[in-house]
Amino acid sequence: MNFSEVFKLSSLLCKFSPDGKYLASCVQYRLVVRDANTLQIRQLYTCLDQIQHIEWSADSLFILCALYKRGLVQVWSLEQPEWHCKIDEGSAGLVASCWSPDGRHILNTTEFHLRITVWSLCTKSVSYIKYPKACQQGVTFTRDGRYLALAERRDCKDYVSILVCSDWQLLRHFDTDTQDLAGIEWAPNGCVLAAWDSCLEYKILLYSLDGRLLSTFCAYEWSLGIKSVAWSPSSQFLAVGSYDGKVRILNHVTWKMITEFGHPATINNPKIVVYKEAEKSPPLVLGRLAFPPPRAAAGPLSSTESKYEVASVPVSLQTLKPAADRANPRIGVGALAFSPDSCFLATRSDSVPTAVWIWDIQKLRLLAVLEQLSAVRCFQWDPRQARLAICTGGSKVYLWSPAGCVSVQVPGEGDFQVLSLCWHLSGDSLALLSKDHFCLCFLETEQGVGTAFGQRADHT
Amino acid sequence: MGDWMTVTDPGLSSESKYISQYTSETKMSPSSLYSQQVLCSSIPLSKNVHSFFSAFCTEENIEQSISYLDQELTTFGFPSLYEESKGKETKRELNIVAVLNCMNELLVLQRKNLLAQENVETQNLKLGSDMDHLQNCYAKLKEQLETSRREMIGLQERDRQLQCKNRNLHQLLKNEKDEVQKLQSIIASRATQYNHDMKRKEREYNKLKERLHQLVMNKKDKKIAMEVLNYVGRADGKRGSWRTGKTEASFFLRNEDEMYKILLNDYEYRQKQILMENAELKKVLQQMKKEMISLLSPQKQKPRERADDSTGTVISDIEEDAGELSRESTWDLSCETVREQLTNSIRKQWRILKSHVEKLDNQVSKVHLEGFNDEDVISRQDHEQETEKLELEIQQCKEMIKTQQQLLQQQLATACDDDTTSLLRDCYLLEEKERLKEEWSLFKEQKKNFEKERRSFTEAAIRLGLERKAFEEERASWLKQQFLNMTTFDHQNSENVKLFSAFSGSSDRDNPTVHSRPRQKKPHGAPSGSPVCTSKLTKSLPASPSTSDFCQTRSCVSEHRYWSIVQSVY
Repeated sequence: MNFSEVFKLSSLLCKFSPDGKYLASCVQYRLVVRDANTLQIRQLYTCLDQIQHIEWSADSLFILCALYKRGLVQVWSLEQPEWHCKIDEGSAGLVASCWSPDGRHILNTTEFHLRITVWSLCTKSVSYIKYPKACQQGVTFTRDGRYLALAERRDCKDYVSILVCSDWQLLRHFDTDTQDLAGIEWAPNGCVLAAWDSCLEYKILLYSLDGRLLSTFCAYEWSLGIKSVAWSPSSQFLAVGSYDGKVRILNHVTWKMITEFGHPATINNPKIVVYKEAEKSPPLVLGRLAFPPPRAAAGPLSSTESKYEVASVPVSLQTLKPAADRANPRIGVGALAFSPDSCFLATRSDSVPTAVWIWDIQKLRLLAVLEQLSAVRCFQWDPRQARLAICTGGSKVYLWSPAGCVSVQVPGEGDFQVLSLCWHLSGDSLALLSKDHFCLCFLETEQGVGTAFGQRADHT
Repeated sequence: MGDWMTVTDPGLSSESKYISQYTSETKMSPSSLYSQQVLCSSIPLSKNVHSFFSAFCTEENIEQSISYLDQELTTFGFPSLYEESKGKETKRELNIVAVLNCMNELLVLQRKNLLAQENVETQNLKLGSDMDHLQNCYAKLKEQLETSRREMIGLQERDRQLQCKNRNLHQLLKNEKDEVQKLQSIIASRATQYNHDMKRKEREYNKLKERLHQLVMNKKDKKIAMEVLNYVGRADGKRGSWRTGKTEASFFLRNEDEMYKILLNDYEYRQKQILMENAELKKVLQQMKKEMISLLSPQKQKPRERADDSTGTVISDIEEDAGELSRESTWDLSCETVREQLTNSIRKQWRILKSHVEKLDNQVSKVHLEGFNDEDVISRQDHEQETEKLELEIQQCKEMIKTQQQLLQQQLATACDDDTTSLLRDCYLLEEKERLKEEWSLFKEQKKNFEKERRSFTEAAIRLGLERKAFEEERASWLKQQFLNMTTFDHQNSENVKLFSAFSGSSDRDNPTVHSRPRQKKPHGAPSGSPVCTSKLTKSLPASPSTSDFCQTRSCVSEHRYWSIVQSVY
């Protein structure tokens, strides 16, 4: 595992281009585009103000930089550095901006969700979509980029509009049987739309592309409901994480629940592997200390190494006592992610913030639990294989695969606190983002995997 | 008896007297007697029996006493003490017999009374003790009653308290329920209120939004604009089409078409998948069925014998199914037509299999149980026999061991030396034999070597012999010449002859052999088993051949001959 040198970054804005060739990162008002392999700067763009959001167009030709404070969007072309485009939302303000899947339209949401403006880069045409709903996830495109589903709120009722992206024509418009629609998400095959109610009510509705209600699922009543939703890449399963600390898996044929994954604080089943991160300070060998201390050892925190130990069951995990009198209590399943082959599901229960649970979807059972020393910030699956990268805001990055898991110290001067991470398309490299720096972590290629696993065996 | 009588007599009489005293007290008595009687009653009876007696009847008042007694006795129904008077005037005579009879009767009566008295006394005692006991019991029971009454009162009190509490709790529960209901209603009303307010707020908000929208958007805000250097082409290379009223409808239709196409594709894909899954499941089902049939058919005879008709019919169904199975086409039919048939047949087969398995299980368990029982019985029956047998065997073995020990001891005692030595010798010999065998093989090898060398030696000897012969001839000729030259010297001559003879004699066959033999024997005569010597010999022989050997060879001793010698030595 190799690490690149550390580059400057602000607002955790660092993204690989969809074709995997480039890496865009922001430093204050500057946008830097690098080659993803060599990390040489390909382009450097200067925006008018601090960049708050960036997004690559689907064809990797353009990058939009949103400057919400100014109500501005600046678009840059990679092929023509001199080309520029500036969209000003004026007094309407700007709260969100995104590309349409064709990479030629930009959807800007104005302040107060007054409307969504669709700007075209090809023509002068501007479309407006009225009544967008201000919610968790109100806009979703199908994977093939043909359709846009949009949550709306009119006359105190929730609606969903399905629009054709090619000409922004309304295809279907229907009301949803929800109190307060919280989010919508297309299945990866683009034929089923999941819509779920706000946390006050457990309700998930499944609509066909043509607006028919396929099914409704409600696990329980009178308690806080859905917290997170994830489709499996095969569109076969819909995982619904809720405030009762359970994940329910629905199938795509009957839309009924297949199984229920609880997140108990104690693990008794000896079949479940519990990896426990253990800190160990390296033995201080005086003779071995090199005089200018090596870079890796220079950091204040890097002196403590950590490794995984397989804990013997029964294991009790550290749980947080939720404050019942506060809104948005830290309970329930807050994060869900399917592996790209749909074989594994990683979850995080917010009441056990240090643990990542990995479920075997083929056997429908818990496979492994990773207990970290600090709360898990973010985890993401390798887009190519069943390999999960986890960061906890410390100076380490953790990788799990069915063969085992490993914790890797990020080398660098000072403390590199990994707050977020994103995989390269190929799964060969991983961008690690800290508060004001980022670096790339290059993983072994196929032939190097064996040695990596060997290393892993050492660690586990 | 007489003794007793004497003792009790006064008492008895006194008793009778006593009775009479009480009974006749009022009737009549001489005044003196009366006074005495009063006196008597006041003092203890036993003490002054005699005094009383003496007091009752004195010399003077015999007549009076008798009459008194007679009177008394007659009142009690005894016959009169006097004889029957013939005339009124005549004095009545005392009838002794009657007196005696009366006395006897009185005595008997007295005894009876005494017995009765005793009985009564004991009964009295018994009753007294019973009374005591009962009184005790009564007291105890009374106490118990008291305590239980107290307890009851306590329990009642507690019950009352508990009931009170219960009532209170009920009241509380009711209150709580009411509270809950109230709260629920409050929550509900609040929720409705909240929802209502929310809606109102939302409406207001919407209105505001609308207004804002109008204000912001319709102002023709110059700022809301897009600055582009130049418009870029569409990603798909198409040109953006203008929307007009006409095209809109067609667009819509096209979009609808596409949407349905997508949905159709998805459904087709799913159908394909389901078909594939179905096919696989069917395959599995078919295989299972086949296996079931093959599994069940050999056993169909047995169950038919035992089982009732239902299974029989089912089995015949299986046969039918087996027939059906051969028609593979049924499997390709759509599920609806075959489904019922299929599920039914599978169900039947499954039932048969289940029953069969259950039967087997039962059998197995039965066998198991029986086996256990049998084993138990057998073990118990045979156990004793077996143990007896074993004990016998043990006894026998012990005896055998004993005898053996005895024999051994005897042997050790008597023929210890002979046997052991022979044994030891045997051992020794065996070892020796082994060693000898080894040595023998070694020796044989050496012999082979020796023979080889011998052969080479003989060849060399032959060669030497020839050379010698030539030399001898030369010498002979030379001697001849010398002889011819110096015939004059006799001594010299004789010497020469000797020499000659010595050399020429060797031409003779017998001579050298005689000479050589002891020499030859010497090396061979040495311990034949020792390899050292032979090796020396074999080494030395070609290196320094003895003259005798030369002679021997020169005298054309054939190899055979030599061989014979060697062999003889061995």
